[in-house]
Amino acid sequence: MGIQRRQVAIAVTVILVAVVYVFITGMSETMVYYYNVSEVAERRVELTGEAMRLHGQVVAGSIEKDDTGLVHKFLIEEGGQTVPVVYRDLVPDTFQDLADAVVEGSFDADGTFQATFLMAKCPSKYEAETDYAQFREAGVVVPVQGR
Amino acid sequence: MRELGQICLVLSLATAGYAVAASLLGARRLSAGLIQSGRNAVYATTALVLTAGASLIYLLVTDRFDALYVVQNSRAAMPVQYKVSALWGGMEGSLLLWAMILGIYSGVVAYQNRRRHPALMPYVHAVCMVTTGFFVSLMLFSANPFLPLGFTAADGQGMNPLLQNPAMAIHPPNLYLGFVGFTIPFAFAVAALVTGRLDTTWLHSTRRWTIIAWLFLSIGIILGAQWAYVELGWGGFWGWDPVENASLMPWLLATAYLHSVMIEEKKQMLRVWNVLLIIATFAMCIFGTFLTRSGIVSSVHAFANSNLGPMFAIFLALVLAGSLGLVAYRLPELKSEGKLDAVLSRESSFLFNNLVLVVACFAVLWGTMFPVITEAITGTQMTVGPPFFNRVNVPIMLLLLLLTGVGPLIAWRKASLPSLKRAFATPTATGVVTLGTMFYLGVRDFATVMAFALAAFVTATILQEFWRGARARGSATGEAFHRALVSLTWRNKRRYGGYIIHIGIVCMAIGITGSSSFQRETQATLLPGQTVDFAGYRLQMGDLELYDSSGVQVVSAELLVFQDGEPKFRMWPQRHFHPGPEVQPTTEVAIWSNMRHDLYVVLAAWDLDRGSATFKAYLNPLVKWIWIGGLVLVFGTVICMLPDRSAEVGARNY
Repeated sequence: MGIQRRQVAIAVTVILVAVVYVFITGMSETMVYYYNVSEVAERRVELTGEAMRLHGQVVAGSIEKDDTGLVHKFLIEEGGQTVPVVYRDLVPDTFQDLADAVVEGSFDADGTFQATFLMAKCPSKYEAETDYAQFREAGVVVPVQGR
Repeated sequence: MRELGQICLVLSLATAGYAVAASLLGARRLSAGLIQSGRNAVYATTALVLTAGASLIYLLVTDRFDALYVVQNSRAAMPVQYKVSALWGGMEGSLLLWAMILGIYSGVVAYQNRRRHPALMPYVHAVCMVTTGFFVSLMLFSANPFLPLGFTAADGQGMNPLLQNPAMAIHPPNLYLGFVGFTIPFAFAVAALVTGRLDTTWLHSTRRWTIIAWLFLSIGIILGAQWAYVELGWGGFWGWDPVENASLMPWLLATAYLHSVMIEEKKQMLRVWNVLLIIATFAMCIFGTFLTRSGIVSSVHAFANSNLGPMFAIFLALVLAGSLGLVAYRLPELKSEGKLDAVLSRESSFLFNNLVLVVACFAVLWGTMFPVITEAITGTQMTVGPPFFNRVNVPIMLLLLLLTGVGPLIAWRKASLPSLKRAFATPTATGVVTLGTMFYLGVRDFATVMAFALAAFVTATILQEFWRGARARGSATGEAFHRALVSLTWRNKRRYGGYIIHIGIVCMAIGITGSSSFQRETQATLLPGQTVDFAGYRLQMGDLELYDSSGVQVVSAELLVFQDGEPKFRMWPQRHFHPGPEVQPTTEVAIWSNMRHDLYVVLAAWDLDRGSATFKAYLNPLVKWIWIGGLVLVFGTVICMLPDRSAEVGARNY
């Protein structure tokens, strides 16, 4: 290997080492556990303050807005367990009853999940295997979707 | 019509299968007749898949609510353009669109090369038809767009109103035109590997295809970002969602490929690397489609858990095993002829560019798949969010920006000190002055300062290239400067088109940096006549109205915006309630945009009795630069694609 080729190899190595460093620090500083509601509902006290992502379905009728429309309190449910969530920012249009929601944040001392980030997916037509046969019985109607 | 579509799909699977068999057999037996027959079968497949697509469009446009897909994705009251775009609104239809586009590409490539590359073409046909056959099989065995409902519904469920947006209507086809387009260079690479014709022929014949695919993918990504920005109402344009990442990853690899092929054409280097890159790009396109279709990673817009996952996984495994096996088989013949001479040379700057792009792709892949990886290893899912992607990608992109400036100017083989000085004195000075100015203006964030300084540096290198080139040409031919500038570009389309693309990228980098580093936000609840001051603007609440707009209930708040005490313009942030089985609300953001910033206002809540409304307002600096950068990029790419007077000129100029 000539001296020039060695220089190239060194430069490549330097870049790769730098990238690995950024990778590892980036990961260790930003990764959080991803739980379903049923995995943490009963461990809320021990998990207080620990950052995580939490997945569940928005309980129908549980969404409460304050006057500003920017603070949302609601329940999310999964595996028969339910936890209360507070989120203080604009919610996406897809956030509604029965939406699949992922919230990021942590539990406070009261066991309420204080969310700083919220993702919601419509109770989508792609997920629901709607049983269209039932609509036939009711006559010709617009099929209502849902799960 | 439904039956016609179904029959066409079944027949197209048969013709695709025949095309593969005839082509492979014809190539082995050197039978021109069989090869021709295989080519005809490709044309037949194209026609059949397109007819299937046309039938589905017909069903959608004529409101045939006895077809399940139409009921699920369309509604009688929808405007006709959205009925057409419902073709790709659902999973079954988007698979059909994939197959249609691949059908068109395969047909065109077969026709274009009907008298060229007789050894390669049978294999190109075979690869295209295997891929088409795969997508048709997905439809026939798992996600059929032509299923009957069993009775006739009065109306359909309609498309998600969030998708009823011009950018969103044309975003998926663009993305697919890009994704699918990489099948062609991949097919040529496989053909070259199988036949052992490993010279640069396959690179030359796929260069334009690669650029076309890259162009559409770029447009698709930019439109997706624009849709997210105007439609989702969270003030940003990129959220590192798995579906967004799925489109970015092949783009990064394809960008690397577009650069490294130049090295192979010029210096016969990096041959194994190039083949691997195009294989990886194609695999990433399939993987991206898989990612959005399988529900393997939870995402805002993923189509959920379908049984397509295993089929995609098997196809992907076959693609990788087959093509990597071929590379291993040809490895001795693929060994590079050229050698890398020095760190300071164009070759090595391209090498670094490739390294950085591939690493960026890997970082995005890693972050996207992190929950899956950690679950496989530890049993618990862990996720990394936007902070991870930003932390990792910001330094990578800064490095890339630097290389964008350095690469095109540095000499081949080994750059000498005087040549470096000549090339980089002015750009470096420009960068340093920008850096100083940013610092003087009080910007202290390292990445932000560097991004602007590097943007200035790159812009200066490119302008200098145009300036020197045009002046040299002017003095040689006696043309005036502006004429020389045009003819210079015209005679070296690939080179100067590439520079124009780089300018587009710089504009986008400026926009991305500005909007992510300096975004400001506020919120306020206002009664009519009340005001709030925000970022040099005074927003005064006017009337709050509720009205019906062709079936859509609209809540609209009027804001009068003052600047320096003068009333300047009005904004109407709105909320729309779309009728349907379930009322779907959509946020309609009001955006006032200029080159310096966007004023972006969202209507968060309202009280019709009191006439009050709550707003969330963002000031997003320099966002317009992203969209302008996108247009510049498209312009530059089109210049690159225009045919040169002779193909030889184009090849020599780089």
